[in-house]
Amino acid sequence: MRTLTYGSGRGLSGLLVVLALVAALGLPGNSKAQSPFALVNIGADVRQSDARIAGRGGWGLAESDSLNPSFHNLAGLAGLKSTVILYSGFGDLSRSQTPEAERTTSTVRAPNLRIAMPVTKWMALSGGFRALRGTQYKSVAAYLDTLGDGSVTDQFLNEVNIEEIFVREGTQFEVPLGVSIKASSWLKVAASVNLVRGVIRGHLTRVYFPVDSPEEYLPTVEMLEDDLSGTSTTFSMIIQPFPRLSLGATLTPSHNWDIVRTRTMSNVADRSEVPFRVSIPSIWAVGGALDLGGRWRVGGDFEAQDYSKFSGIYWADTMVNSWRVSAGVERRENWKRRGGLTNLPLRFGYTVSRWPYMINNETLEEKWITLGTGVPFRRNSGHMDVALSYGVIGDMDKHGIEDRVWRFSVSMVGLEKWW
Amino acid sequence: MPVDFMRILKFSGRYGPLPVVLALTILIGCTSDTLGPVGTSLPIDMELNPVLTDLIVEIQEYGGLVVTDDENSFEASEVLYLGGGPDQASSIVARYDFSTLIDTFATFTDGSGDSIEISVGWIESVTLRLFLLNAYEDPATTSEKVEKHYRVYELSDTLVASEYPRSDEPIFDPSPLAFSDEVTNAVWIELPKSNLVDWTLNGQTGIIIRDEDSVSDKLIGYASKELDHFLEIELEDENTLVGPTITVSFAAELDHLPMTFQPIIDTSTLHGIPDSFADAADGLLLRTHSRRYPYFSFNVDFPDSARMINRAVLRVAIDTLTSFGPLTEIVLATIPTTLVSGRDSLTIQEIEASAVVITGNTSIDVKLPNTAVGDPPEISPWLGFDITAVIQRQANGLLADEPLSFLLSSGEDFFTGYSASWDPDFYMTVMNLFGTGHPDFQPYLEITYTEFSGGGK
Repeated sequence: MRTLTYGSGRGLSGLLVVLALVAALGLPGNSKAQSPFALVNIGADVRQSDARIAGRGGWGLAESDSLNPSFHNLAGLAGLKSTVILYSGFGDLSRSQTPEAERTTSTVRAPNLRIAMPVTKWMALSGGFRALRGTQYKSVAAYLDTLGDGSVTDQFLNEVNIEEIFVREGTQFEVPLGVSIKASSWLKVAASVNLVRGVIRGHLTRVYFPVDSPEEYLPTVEMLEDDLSGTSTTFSMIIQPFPRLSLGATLTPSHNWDIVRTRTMSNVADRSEVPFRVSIPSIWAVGGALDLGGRWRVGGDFEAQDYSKFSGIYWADTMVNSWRVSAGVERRENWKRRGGLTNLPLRFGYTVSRWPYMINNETLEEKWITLGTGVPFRRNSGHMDVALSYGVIGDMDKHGIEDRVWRFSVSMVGLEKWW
Repeated sequence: MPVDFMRILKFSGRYGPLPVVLALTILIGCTSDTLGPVGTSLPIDMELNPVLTDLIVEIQEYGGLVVTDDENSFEASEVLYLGGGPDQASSIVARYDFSTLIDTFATFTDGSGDSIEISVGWIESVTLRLFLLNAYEDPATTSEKVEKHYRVYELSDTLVASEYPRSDEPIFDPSPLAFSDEVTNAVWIELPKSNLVDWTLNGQTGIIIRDEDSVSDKLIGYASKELDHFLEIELEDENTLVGPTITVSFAAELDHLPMTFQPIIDTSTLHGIPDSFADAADGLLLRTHSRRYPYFSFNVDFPDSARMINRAVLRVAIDTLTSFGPLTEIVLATIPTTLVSGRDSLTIQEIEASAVVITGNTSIDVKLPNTAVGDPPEISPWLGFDITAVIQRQANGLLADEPLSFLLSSGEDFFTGYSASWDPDFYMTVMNLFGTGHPDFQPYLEITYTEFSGGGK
């Protein structure tokens, strides 16, 4: 049997090359698009831990496995024996529908690049990059209008076909710098300082196509850019009161983002720059995992963030308490000789969440069913996981738009004793 | 143990490539539909203001400039204009020096070997010749243009070139020296031999060639002695002397070839052609050959709020009944108002140093308005100049310290990309543009803009 040879000092750098290749694939230019619901407010949640977590529905707060580490809860990294690097990403194929139109879009995101290393047997440090929220969508509206204010002679008014194109794109991300400590055989704790940055840009372009006239009008283009920065802290813990049961929790207290909102207009030597501060409500989450015996286990997470306490910009007018519930089952991988497909890990789960803002005065829900598996590298030196998910976002009757999304998630984890 | 990362893609034996193939298929194979209306119903953070159009008709600064050339005086013009119409009148004036004829006659002897002096008897003929420019021989208009009634008079006072062009003709002896009604491109007019003898012995004040009672009112161009563009006329050979030449033929017994004299001075009076209007209400004149360029600025009041100029057009209407020449050689430039304000004249060199071309012959937009508004478009067509960029600069406040005026000119050499086929001092073009006092066709700015939505969260 041919096997992957992975485990030398060159291994980690080689893995980075592969990750860079995957990252490059994750930037497919103009095919990028997301849910149209991301066109408004604070954007869509694009957090993803890894494909293993995604495959079983998104739960993993109670996860702590030094051979199969996860960054879903940093407390789980305590007791780490190897340096670990994680890269995860996903590709979406979305079908967005309105009563009048529909559009298929695809996007690729690489929201998570993390690294952790053990310092002592009971302490590990971690860092990396994680995307929090993102927005990436374009829309175009076409209509017929007349240029002019009515005060001029009719002969000077031009009837024009107008296309109004709106593009919103950008990512809010954080750089979490964490320390994880194994306090006892049943208690692990962690804390991280998260440096939050991000830019979201909006371009609204109006293009004019005069009817029956050779006149040419420059398109009107306005740009809006929100440049945000902030700092948050996250506290987390995992306890294992019983051998087969573990529980986890995280808390990110409320914090502020400083935003500089800049508006510019093409050709205009003027700009408006308005600094303001938004208050991000605290995020708390709890989860549990129960070993069912054999290779099977079951788990679930619940996360909530009361965005009704959000303040600082008019987005708050439509914000509500957001939450996410995820649950799923996992059959862990096996190393049985000639075990074939039965050695593969198998995961499935279900996630339902509510977005932090309303559309059409209606809360916006998102539901996913997921299925996942993975392949371990030789000698437990890492693994690659994949997950296939199908989700529905919004409701045609309530929101006027409904998304149906196929998502393929991929993550790679490498373990390396670098010292 | 060495690392073989190509095997990463194969993973553990038999399970190998399936997940990767699936992943790459999804990552690479998917594309997005083209933009559509999905999402347009959502309340986005941005909203563009409506597009508005302002018409500005109030002129702030105006002047009709006499444009001269420090390096090329009017006297050195290559073309002389002749015409006797009520709206387009010009005569040709020239002065000759025949003193060399005395020396020539000093070489002649009669049959007895005695020297002879110049006299009518030894002169066979004295012929004034004009070279019509080919441009005025257009087959469609030949019969109208070349049917001139030439009359030649002797000037009362000595011709001084620097006095031209002028608003009246110089004083001349009312008895014509000669006349001709030639209809060919080469005009031959016989002059009295006695006058030649007199001019040779006593010097000449000059002659004036007038067009009297012609069928055509149009100005017609002829070669001056300075003509370098020989392809514009029909030359017999490369040695042909051009200009309003006088050829003296001698009596046969003198056995001497005819002598041709170019004038020492030749110029056009341009005494009856349109000149710049003192008031913008009466019109704007753009003229070449002897340049008249109008400048003007509009009273545009830009508010403090920023705005994007989607389109700005300067529109002027041309009076086609009194204008002539190619429209496509009009050039619009900006010039500092401080340079031209209060001045009557400007040099080409000053224009070259200060003017910035905006647009011209390649982008003139002939807009024909709704015929219900005024005269039919074939009588008064509108010309449009796209001035979006300069109006945007003005809207941006960049010109607050240096206000600019518009300068309508011809395609000078230094207007890169808009240089006319001929230097503007060669042919005469007259563009009469309706003034601000015209009820229907006054010049105006048409500015279409979008207000910047500005600040706020």
